[in-house]
Amino acid sequence: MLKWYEETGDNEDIVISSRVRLARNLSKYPFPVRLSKEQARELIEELKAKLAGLDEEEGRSYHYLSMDSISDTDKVALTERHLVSEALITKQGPAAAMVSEDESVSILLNEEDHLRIQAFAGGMNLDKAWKLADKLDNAINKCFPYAYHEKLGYLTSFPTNVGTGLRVSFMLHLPAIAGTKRLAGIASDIGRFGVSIRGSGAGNLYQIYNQKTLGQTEQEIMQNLTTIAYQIIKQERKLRKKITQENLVGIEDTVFRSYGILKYCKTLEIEEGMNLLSDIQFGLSGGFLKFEGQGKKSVYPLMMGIQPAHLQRLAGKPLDKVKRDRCRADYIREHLPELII
Amino acid sequence: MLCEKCHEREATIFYTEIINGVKNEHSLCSECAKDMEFVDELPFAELLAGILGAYAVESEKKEDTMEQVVCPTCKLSYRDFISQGVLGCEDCYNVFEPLIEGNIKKIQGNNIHTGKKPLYNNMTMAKPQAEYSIIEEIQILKEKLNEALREEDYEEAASLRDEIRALRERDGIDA
Repeated sequence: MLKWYEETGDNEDIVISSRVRLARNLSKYPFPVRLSKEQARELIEELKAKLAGLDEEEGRSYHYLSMDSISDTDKVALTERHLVSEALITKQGPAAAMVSEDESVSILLNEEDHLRIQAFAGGMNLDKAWKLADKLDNAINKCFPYAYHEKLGYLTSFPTNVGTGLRVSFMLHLPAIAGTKRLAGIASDIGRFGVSIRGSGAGNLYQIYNQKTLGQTEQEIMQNLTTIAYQIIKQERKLRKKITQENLVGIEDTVFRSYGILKYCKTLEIEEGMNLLSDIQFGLSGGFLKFEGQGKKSVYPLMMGIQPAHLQRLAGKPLDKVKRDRCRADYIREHLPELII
Repeated sequence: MLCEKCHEREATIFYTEIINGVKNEHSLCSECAKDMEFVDELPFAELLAGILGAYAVESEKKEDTMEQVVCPTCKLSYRDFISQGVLGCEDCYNVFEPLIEGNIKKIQGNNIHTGKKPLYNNMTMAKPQAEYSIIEEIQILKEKLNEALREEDYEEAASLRDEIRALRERDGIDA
């Protein structure tokens, strides 16, 4: 089965992924912040038992991961894949996650809310991610009545999530916008439409997401974010074209040099690795650089693979920084596809 | 209070940062806070609590009486909510609704849900009512009405007046 990031999607020269997240709470328990340890355990057991039946219904198999039974490295690796949140792995007290085989769905248990239902799709495809999350939401709701208020909608721990409980986001690769220092302007422009942007580590990856969750329907929230994403995509494309037209030789040179460094370096820091991979992605999208082989051409899996916890899982032991940088260079050398020259 | 960063504009965002157990309080103007976004993300819960807290300080008199309100289901007090920005259970929304409604509207720009509804709730769930007595509720609304009048927000005042009237009629209390 293909992972979500191996599937192709719309506008994938810029949009890495689409994500939908629903915050839900069960009616019969207090919210996580007021749950005793025993209640939290009981809640998780109950959710786990009932959600086990989702497998057959959805045709998707889930791994159940209890936060107190997996290693710290594994926890961090899950956040590096965006499958669970920082809040879940640092949570005091019982917490768990259910992650689907293809990594397109994860359900966080007893994070800030009882349930956080997350769905991913490759490229620009909120609709696909929404359908996954919506279906799952209904299936879960069949087993558990939700905390819901006639006027305020779905009730959440933080009033910032109340209403739809919906946070939708796109992960965008914006090397041209970031490289020409236009991010601050964009951040303030889109802020007026209730959309925020934040950096997602190095590599020119940025997430845009809706700030408000109450007052608009789910479709309106998604439509609004999509409209804004299109504007950003348009700007990024325009800038890429301009930069390339102005200095084709220079851009090609940068992209190929980056490839050369990645392929032949012996030690590589995370930030440099991410930025060089960003150059490669720019080259792939612009067609200056072509990878050998079949399937989707994206460096995103490599960007995940070189994260610290991923490297340590691969090594099967904790690594200090020097060893990690060495392993990172080895990993890239091994996994970076050959070029068609 | 002036912004700690630019020392020019009035601070509008207050937040508490805890790094390795050391607590730091910050006050920033919205411009400087915006600049910080990419450098260091504001811990949202504290930021939110700061906004709510700052709001409460503005109306200190109200705070005194209201801080004592406690959710009967989960025992969260309004004071807890102001300091942490997080609610304790679904009933909190009913209990604190008159107090937090304005803040929700401020954060969300709206206070009426128009999206998806749960498919399976109605049968299984009887919505618990707020644990205020009508008289207490009227008292809260009256305080809000006074505040609205002080701020010369007559539109809000009119709607509060109507709410009070409706409550009184419902309960058969003479106006």
